[in-house]
Amino acid sequence: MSDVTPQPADRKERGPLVAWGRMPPVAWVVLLLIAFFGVTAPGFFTAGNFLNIMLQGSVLLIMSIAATLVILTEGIDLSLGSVLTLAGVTAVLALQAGLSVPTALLVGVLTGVACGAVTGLLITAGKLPPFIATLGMMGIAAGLALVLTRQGAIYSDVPAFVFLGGGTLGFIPMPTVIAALVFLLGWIALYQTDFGRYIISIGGNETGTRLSGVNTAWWKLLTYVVAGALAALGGVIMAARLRAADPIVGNGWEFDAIAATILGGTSFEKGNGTLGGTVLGVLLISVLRNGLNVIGVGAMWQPALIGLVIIAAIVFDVMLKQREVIR
Amino acid sequence: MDGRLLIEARGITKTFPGVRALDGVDFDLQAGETHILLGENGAGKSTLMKVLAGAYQPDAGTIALNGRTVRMANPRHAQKLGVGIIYQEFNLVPYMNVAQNIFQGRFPHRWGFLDHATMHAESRKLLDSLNMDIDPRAKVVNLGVAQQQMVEVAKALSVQSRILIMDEPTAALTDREIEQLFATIYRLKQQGIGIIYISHRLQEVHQIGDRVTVFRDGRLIGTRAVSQVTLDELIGMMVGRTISHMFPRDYQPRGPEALRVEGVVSGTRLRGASLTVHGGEIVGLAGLVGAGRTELARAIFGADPYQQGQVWVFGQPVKAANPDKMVKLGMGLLPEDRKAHGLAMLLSLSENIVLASLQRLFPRRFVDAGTEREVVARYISDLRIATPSPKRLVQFLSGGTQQKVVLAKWLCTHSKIFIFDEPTRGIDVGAKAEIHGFMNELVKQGAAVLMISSDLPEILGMSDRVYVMRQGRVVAEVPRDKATQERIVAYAMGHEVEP
Amino acid sequence: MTTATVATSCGWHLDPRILYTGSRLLVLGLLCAVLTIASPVFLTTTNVLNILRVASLLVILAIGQTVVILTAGIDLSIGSVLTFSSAIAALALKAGIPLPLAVAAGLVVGAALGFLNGLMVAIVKLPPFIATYGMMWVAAGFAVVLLKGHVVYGFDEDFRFLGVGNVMGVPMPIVLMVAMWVPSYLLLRHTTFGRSLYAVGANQEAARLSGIKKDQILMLAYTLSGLLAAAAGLVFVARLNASEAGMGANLLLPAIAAVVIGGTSLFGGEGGIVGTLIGALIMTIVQNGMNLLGIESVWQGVVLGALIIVAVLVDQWARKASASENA
Repeated sequence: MSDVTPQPADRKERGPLVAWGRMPPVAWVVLLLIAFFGVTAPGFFTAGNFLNIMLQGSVLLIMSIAATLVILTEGIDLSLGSVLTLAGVTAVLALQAGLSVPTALLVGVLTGVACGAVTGLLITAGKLPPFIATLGMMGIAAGLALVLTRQGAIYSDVPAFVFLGGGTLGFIPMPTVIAALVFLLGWIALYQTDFGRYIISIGGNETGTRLSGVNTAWWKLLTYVVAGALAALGGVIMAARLRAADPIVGNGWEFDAIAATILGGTSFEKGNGTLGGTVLGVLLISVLRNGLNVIGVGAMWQPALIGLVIIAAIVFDVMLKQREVIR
Repeated sequence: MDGRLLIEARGITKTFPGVRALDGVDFDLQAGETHILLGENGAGKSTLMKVLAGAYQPDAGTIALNGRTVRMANPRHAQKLGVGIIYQEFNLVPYMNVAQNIFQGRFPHRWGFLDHATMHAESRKLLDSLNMDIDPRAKVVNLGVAQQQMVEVAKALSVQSRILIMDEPTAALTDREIEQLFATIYRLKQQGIGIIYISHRLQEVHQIGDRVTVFRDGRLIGTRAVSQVTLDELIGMMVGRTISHMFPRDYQPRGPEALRVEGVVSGTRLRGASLTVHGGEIVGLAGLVGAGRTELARAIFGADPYQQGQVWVFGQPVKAANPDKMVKLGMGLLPEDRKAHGLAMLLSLSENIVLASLQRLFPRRFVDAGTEREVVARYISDLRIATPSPKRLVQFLSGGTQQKVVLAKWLCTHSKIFIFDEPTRGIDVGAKAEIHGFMNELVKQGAAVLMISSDLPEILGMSDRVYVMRQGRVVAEVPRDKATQERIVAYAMGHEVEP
Repeated sequence: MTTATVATSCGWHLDPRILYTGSRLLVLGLLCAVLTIASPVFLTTTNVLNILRVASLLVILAIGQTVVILTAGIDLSIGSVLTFSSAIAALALKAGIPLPLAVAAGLVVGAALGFLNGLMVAIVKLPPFIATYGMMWVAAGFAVVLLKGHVVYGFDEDFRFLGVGNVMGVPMPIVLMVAMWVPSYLLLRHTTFGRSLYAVGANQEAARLSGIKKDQILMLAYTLSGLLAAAAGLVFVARLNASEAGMGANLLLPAIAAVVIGGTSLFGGEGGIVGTLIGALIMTIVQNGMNLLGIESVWQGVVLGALIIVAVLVDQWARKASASENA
């Protein structure tokens, strides 16, 4: 009966992986890049190279999933890179102290959990804006990493540990396996559990959700804890790959993770975004890096070009979104 | 109404620092009744509403639900006891679908994971029972306001609410949607659900209410059966004094044409709107919510672009309008949402008042503190703005005072054309009368005023002429002597009107 | 805020602005007092000048960031803009271009990059975080290209004077800082531009509807930020006698920290460069104090992070206190 407002409610939501009804522009950019590199570089379109792309994007994917979860709650986590660093450091220190590999892994991940918990508490109980809380934590975690390593890299060659970073499961590199698992778990969490619904709810309408009787503080805290744990996992894998924990290895990773999330279509506001989109964002950055390498662009030029492409893609995406809103 | 008491509250008192929001209030709600709460802003009705919903705990007094004394520790608890509340700002999550919003906080599970199928089926049933054609899979962000409200009602029902509290539910609805809401309310009443209904719209008292309770200064002044009370009596109870001059107007012959608008088209909201305003007159602009009045005001002022049409200011056509240009030409807009668009909350009274006049007052770009002080002091006294200091941050002022600051800002620009968009919405009756007085003064001095209002008595009481908008067009111009509520409403809804 | 009776007078009302600045001055004073007691070296002319000199660089950079943050935006690119623009000036000097021209070139480049940021934010309507993040990448990348991975060093006396010279015993960085701070203060507090800037930050739409040219204001704000980043870069290069691509990377966070510790709100409309000056001083004094007391410099990052958190926690408390006083 209500003829006053249109009923777009019939638009079928075909599963929450990616909103296929409206392919995000990022997907087009990715396809474009793949096409471009495939044409200009003979070595690009090989299975080996694609595996390479996936390997290099693995840690970024894990970090980006962490960033996505936080951004979906209308928050932000600038400490992800530092947590990555610190977790690698604590894990390697644990190994150096003679602890077993599983224990060392646990130490690393728990480091991330602790950082996330502190950040989360500052935000929920301390009522700090996430930007500030995570900015502070970034400094603290990075600083602690420097202190613990006495400003130099620390090494570990324990085979079981190194396998995490360098080994393969069949033909798939371990980091990729882990990243895929993280994505799967993340997807399940976001779409099939209360936790995931609450993340979207907090981002979409925190006050309203609270007034509906949900303990938003607790779930927000949990989000930052999970993000910290994921960043720590990334750090551990990184250390395994490098066979070393470097106290500045994680610098800047949070920005890449956030960029991948935004490129993937997740908004800073209102809890609007998909995990699949984040995968696309990570793919974009990874394909770009890999492609530039394969066609022989000097390492010198890469950051500049990557920056340009990222900014172009984001501008493109934002302008398209605005056109939709006006309509 | 079957006389059974759903709520019996006695001696409710609630104090906040420096303010006694509720003072010994006795209130009850019967099953199947719609009980309306009236009162000026800050009179206590929203505080009572929040106490009953468990959002506040009373400092004194008892609440009995269905005869049993309860102490509701939080909203969740109140919900469990059957009290549902729908705030003006909905508690819905935009990027979640309807079903999940309905089951917010109590998601059903299957093998540890969310049970989407059950949520969908139950929501479907609920929405059907409300006669609402909304897809449970739709994301809330894609629904209109009225539909979202229905989702909130469904949500309240899904937790077995026997009491429904609604805070200004019709504020953002079109008349058609209000009808549907009333139909829903009627259906709920049949099921024995009791409804507490807060509204600033006096006409709704007789439309939908069974009993009405009036608050003033934290005290319950009286509860009456709607059939046994007149609106004037109610206003008297709300205000505590008779307002003899509700609408102070000194009518005078109008001056030269100040503003002319022809054929403005913008998107789907404006489909060719035209009007004129002369100096010395207040022109009312009436219409249903969604008719395009605010859109027209913003288009005229240059705040939003338009695709076709033309605007003349004092006979000069204006091209590529933007607010900066319009202000220079002598136009001012007092927006509908004063907090979001009219004032910078973090800035002081003084800073807000001179904000639109920076270039005029300080042509050499240097802000002279002495000039500012003088100018601001003058407006504070002229408009009787209540504040201990002009350096006070605007966020700490009351609604009526804030609106006066907005008015001061535009008076300071020495504008000659004013567009008021809902100038007295959400303001207590005393301040309303003051603002009307200022508007009257303005036109006596030759200014041209276009006044958008959804308050029909205000339109009728203040306007020289009334334009009515419907679906993006100005469909009627009604002179003062022919203007009645029925006529305006008829034009607004597209009904036949005899000349 | 419920007001059954409108408060028309409440004696001594707490002006939040005075509270913020006052509390910081108090902290600064306490810090100085504690350190004077703890170390005999603290209050010596040499040390004080040292503190002021180090703080000056930070202040110059942070003034620009303050202006941007006041508009409720943020400029993540200042580190990279600093590097890039000073690299241009350095290369110009090396190529024999006269000092005034080379300096001007650097400043113009910085302003131009800032202008581009402003364009992206005001016209394209990108969120500032994203726009300046992209610029950060691009500028840093092109700085690498520009410098071809080398370090440019060894400049003439007259350029180096900017960094190491003295004017009547006062080190040049301090002089330059004052020369930039005072006009900036006047600009922000006593001009129509400054009023408009605060209004845009406090409520962009309300400012626009009051006839303020918000696009112009935003673009000017970012241009100023770029300009000041370039100025800071010049002083930095003059001091270090070298220009290399990684220079600015670690300056972004301290700049933001100085602004935040100084009391300017990330949400815009509140704060100013008085606070930023105090914030920079607090940060520098803490560092200085740690050095004097023999605490390893490696802990400075941790302390900085903690400082940021504490500063904002104090602000929250102050905000609540003044809100209930004034309600």
